[in-house]
Amino acid sequence: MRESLNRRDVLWKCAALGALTLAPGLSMADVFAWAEEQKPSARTPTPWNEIGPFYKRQAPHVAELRASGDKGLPLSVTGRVFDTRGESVEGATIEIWQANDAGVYDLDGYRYRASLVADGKGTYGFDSIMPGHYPGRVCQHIHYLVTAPGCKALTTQLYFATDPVFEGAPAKNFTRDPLIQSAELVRPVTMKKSAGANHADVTFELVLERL
Amino acid sequence: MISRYAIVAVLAIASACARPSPEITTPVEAGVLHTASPVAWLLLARAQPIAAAFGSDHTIRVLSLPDAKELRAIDYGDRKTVASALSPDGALVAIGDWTGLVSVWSTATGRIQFERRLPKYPGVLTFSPDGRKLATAPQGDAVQIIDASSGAVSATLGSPVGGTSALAFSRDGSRVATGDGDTIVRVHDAATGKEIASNREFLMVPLAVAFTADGASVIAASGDKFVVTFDAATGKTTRKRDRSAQPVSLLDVSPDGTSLAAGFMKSEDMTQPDHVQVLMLDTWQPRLDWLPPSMPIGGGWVSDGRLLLALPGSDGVHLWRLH
Repeated sequence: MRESLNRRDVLWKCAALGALTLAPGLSMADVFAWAEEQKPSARTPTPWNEIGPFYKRQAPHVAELRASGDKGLPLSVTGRVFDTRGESVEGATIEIWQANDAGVYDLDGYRYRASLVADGKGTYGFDSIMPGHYPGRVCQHIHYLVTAPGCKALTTQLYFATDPVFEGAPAKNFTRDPLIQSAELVRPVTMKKSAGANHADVTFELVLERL
Repeated sequence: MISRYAIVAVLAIASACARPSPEITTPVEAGVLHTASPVAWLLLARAQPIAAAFGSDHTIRVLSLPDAKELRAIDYGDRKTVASALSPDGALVAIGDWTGLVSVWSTATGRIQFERRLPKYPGVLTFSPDGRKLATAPQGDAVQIIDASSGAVSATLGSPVGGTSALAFSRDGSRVATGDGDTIVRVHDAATGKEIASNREFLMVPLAVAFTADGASVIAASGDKFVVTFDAATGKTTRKRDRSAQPVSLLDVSPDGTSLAAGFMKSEDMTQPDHVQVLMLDTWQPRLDWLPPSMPIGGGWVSDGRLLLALPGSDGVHLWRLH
């Protein structure tokens, strides 16, 4: 009968057989802790948000949405796509669309629209600008439609903790936009200087339900 | 109030009487409805001289027309409505709120006819022409067709990605057209929910759908800024109108079936009014093209054959006759 080894057993065997060599200062406890971090763990699905009126299919496969001279705060969004078991979803299609700095959507073309594909680790990313406030909507937002074989399609929206609407307290004030039904969709924004200019970084993980 | 997409649209209508002449018509102010509180949204019954005025005091006032006599006041509390509908005979009024709760009242008694919890808040509520069915489109979920007397679900349509953003019954109530988030317009059997035909002409989400009077064709519009007509049995496109400056977000065919009304949406700012057009359905030649001075708060055909558009005013609701 074949013995079933857990992750800890495998690491011990690797160490015993010389297949695993520890760098100075590292202990097996450190290795176990690292291994624990790598284990997929159950995740809750990303909250749903409505698709809105301006979704357009056949968006280009581009990750650089910001063109030279575009107005607006440069923004980079990165993240990974998981399923609810915590496993990354390779090949997931992430369609995103947003307003420009003035809060206007491009209906005639594909400005600030893209279709991205998650890599082997489920990673995706794009460079854009911070969307403006669309009249009639309360908060700045980026729309997402995420699809992958074997998973339930997800429509959602990404919001920004720096949005002036939240007055610095997104966890408390997110309901000022009635469309935001979960504070989880309001993501922290990291500001940095890049080539002497401000730049915003946001991480937005996406978790899909398995069918 | 009402669909949030419809709120931003201008309700437009077409001729019900004699075949219209080709001259461009001009809207005329037809009167003012004085109400007990400012009106945020007004629904007009298509077959009876009845209106439902949604007041800023969270009261639905059922009014007779044209005298605006209050027939009933229905308090809906502090609920935040996202969609509403009035049955063509004015007998039932429905609201849906952000929690997904849909309530339907009898306007004769003011009592709740039924309530139903949807999986998500509704984007659209629409009564069938005979008032016996209520189609509800929970955002991002499957359309449910509900028996308007019992509140029981009689049919559930397929669940497209992105849900359904526009809904219309055929005049005999046997078919339902849906404009879906996956950009497809579908025709369903209203009794079984089964899909009969689909049209994939659009790249963007359909914003408005309507059946022709005979139910043989569906007219649809989207953010693509054109209007398409297709065969309701096969889904095959039979006509495509040239692109317009703005998308059409509301379509309605005149009772006599000769004209098509189109409400345009100012896509860069949906809080601002845009044009209303009435077109000859056979030629698509415009009979009316009007930019209202303020954002309409409702409108539609009334029983005497007039076409009315409601605009807000400090002294009440101003009704404009478009035809």
